[in-house]
Amino acid sequence: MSLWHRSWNWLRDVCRLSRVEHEMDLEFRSHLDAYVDDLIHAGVSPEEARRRARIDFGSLEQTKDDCRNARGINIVEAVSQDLRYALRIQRRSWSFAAVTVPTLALGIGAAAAIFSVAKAAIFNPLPFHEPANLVHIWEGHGHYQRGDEAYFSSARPAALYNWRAQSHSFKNITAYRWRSVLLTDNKQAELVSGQDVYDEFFEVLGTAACRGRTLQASDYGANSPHVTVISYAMWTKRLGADPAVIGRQVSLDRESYEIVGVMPPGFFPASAGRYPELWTPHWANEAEKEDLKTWGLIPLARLESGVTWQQAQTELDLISAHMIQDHPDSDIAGGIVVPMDAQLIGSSWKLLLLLAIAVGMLFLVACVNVANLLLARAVDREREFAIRTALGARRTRIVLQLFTESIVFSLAAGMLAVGVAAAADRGLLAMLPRVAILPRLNSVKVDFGMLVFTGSLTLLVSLAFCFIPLLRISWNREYDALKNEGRVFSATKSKRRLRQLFVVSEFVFSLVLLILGVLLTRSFVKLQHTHPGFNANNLLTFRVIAPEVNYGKFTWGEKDPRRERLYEKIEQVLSEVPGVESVALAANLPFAQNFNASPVLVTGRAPQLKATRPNISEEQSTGTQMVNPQYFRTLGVKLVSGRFFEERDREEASHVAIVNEAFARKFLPNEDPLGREVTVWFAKTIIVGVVADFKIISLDRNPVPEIFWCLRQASPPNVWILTKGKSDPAALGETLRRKIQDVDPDLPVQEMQPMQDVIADSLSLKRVSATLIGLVAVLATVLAGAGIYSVMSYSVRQRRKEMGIRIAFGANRGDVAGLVVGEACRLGVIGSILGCAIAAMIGELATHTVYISPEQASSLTPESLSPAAFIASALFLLVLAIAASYAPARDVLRIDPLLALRDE
Amino acid sequence: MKNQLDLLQGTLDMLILKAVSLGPLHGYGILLRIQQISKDRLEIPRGSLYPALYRLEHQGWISSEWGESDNKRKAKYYHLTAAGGCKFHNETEKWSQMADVIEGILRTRPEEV
Repeated sequence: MSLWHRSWNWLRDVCRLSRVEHEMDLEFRSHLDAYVDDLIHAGVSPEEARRRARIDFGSLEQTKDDCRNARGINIVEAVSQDLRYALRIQRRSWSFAAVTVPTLALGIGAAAAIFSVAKAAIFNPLPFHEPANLVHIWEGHGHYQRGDEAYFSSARPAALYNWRAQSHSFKNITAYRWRSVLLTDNKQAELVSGQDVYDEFFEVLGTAACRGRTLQASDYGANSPHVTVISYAMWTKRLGADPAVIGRQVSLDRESYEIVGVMPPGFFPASAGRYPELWTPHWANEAEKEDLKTWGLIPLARLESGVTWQQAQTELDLISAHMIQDHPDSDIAGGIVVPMDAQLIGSSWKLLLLLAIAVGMLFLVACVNVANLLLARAVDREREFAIRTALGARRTRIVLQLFTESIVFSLAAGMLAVGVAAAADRGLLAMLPRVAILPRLNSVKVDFGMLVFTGSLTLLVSLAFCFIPLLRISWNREYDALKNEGRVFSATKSKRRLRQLFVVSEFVFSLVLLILGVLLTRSFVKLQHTHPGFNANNLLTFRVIAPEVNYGKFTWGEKDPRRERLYEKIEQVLSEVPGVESVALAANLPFAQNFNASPVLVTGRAPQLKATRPNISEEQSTGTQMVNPQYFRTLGVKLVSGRFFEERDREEASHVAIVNEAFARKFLPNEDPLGREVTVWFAKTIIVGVVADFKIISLDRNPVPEIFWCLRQASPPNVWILTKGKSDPAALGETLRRKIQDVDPDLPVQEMQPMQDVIADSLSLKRVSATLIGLVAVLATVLAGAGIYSVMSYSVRQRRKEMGIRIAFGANRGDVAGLVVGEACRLGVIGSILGCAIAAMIGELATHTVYISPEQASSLTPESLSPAAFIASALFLLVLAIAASYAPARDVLRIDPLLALRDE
Repeated sequence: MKNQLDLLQGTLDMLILKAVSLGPLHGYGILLRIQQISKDRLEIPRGSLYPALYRLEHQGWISSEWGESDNKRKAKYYHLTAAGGCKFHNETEKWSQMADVIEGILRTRPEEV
């Protein structure tokens, strides 16, 4: 008979227990009656017949019990009994529950919170059809390897069309380009973030619209009507969730577009923390298919089924090798295939791993605390179990009872933990979005997956805890337990071992967390006080985007006089504002932008690599910046030699550039850089000045080579403006905004904040990790302190009699109390040594998660293994241990030997 | 009563299956039937019949329904299920093989070894 059938029978029986009981009763009675009838028939007196029937049948209750066992329904009865008993016990010793339930809830809840963040950011499948087959293709040389930081090196249209024409590894290849669209639907013009998408974009991603349709082939064409697909967020937030949104016209860049579809929420997480609001079709004409100038394309592709991304990479390598062979002068670079999930997750898993380790330790500390309390209680209940065993209770029955008990309080803790996790998630969500490395955080919520996780953790904990009291029960010596009651002087060695193990492990976990917290906090504070190399005081920064519709499309190497005039006008207008000392314009804002690297070729020297091919390796490359003449003065950067940009550096003059000292050191060592010609970004330029190094990427990196061009020689599509004020820059904000609106009312002023805040924001990952780990460390330390206290005071309670005897024999009370403190100290020292060793091992991991690798790091940071942090943390915990054992030790001083020996 | 045999371990199930294979019976009836077939030479241990019945029913070899006994009493009648029939057949087969083997062994004379 199948297991299924049997389970079904069992379930049916369990569901109608009372009926089963009743039927059993009826059946046995009818058996007895029939027997009695037969006996009477045979001539036995009714009285005697009934007696004999009873005897022959055997014990009615025993038979019933055996029958229940035969059907396996006995366990239900037992569990419901235990459940009632467990609840009664909890009610009786409510203080036990009051301590264990919140402690466990904290541990489980913290773990669940991190789990739900990891689930949203990493484990949840991407909102695409078969996301495993999706890849990004970046233009460049080199290879992506799993575990690498993801690359962001955009492509040019010609590369896209070249791949499309030649490769066979992909089902289809498409691309998108970020664009800022001027939305003039409402009264005020707003700039929204959109994507210009090439054909087959939605086919590659394979996500359907939740209303209307996605883009289709007929939308792409020179004369196709203007259509757009909008995001769910745009529909609900900007268009008021208009039910008649399909077919509605919106004005984008002053042209009317028809909305044809709304994408589902969460589509699509293009990069960490950045969601597009609308998609417009981009039709490429023949000329564009050979465009090798316009960067900024982000290609996406779906792999042919059965093709791995590594195979696709091999094919792209072959294609580029052939290209180089056939057209040595061609400018088409190779492609780097990066799986979509790896691209989106990047290295964020490291931060989550660190948090998971920290929270895991907190969880263990919480568990050890509870385990210790359970153990102590088991000793108190030893007699109860002994009596039950002596009365014939089977071991399984007692184990079942213990399990029911631990389930009861674990369940309470688990339910509380869901609340803790929900609150913790809210806190994390408030902190983490500033750390732009975690993708898809908007989907963090209390969901089924998280409940399952919490539930299984709870179950695991209760299973483990039900075995703790079993350690205490000496099965074969139940009579000893009964006999010995009141005569045991102190706990046996093995039992003390276990408690000592608890103390040591609490010490280890909390010490490791404390050291991590101290390391991260110290590194952070130190970094915060690092000087960036320029004067950030009174600097106000904001961004102005020149909408394409008014100021033309940006193409590399080509400039638009409209944009140029705009920037000049802005510079002039702002410098006239009273209180503004100088105005800097730059394409990139320090500490806010990615490394914009280009290979460097020094004229008159053999090229180390083909300079026309962009290379992502930082070895041979320099950062590139476009700035106005006032830039260095505004930032207070010193000139080392040569000159700053001047008014005569117009685009007609030959390209001139200023480099920093790092550039000079790296590419022109032991030479005078002034007047040298270098090729950067495919253009020749002459160095006219050298400025002092200052930090431009992040505070914890040493300055890298940078080359600065005059902004006028190439006008970027948007600029960052930095104004140096005489006093607090924030006060100037509104005036500056008004001035910009005077220049052009359609120019949005974005992300206005003081430079100090920009710097602070660039440290947010470090701040958040230091805060979170610190918080976890504090919680763990508090729990550990409480745990050590409870172990020590319990130990004193157990050794009361022994100590009473010692005192009675004339031992100094102080010495006896010293025994307690001494034990705490001894355990503390063992724990400190172990904890320091573990912290030394994972301290490296922790700091490298948050800070960059040591090769790139400046000498200031990070302090992965500062001995001071270790010693201070260990000493702190030792003091805590002594403090925690002080109160129990004081109790020793009050022991009255007579009472101690007599009581119980 | 002295010449009654103790039931061999594990054979009660088989006897019950045999008893009900001859027609639906209630618990007391099964007891009587076994005694009758064995000509009172077997004794079913006290209190072991019902647990065995419940187990067999739980495993699906037999099933039960309420009916009326000869003397107008409500009684639970057990009958063999199709699966139980197969099981009984197999068990019988196995038993006779086993009995053969054991008998062969026990009857072996010294010179045959």
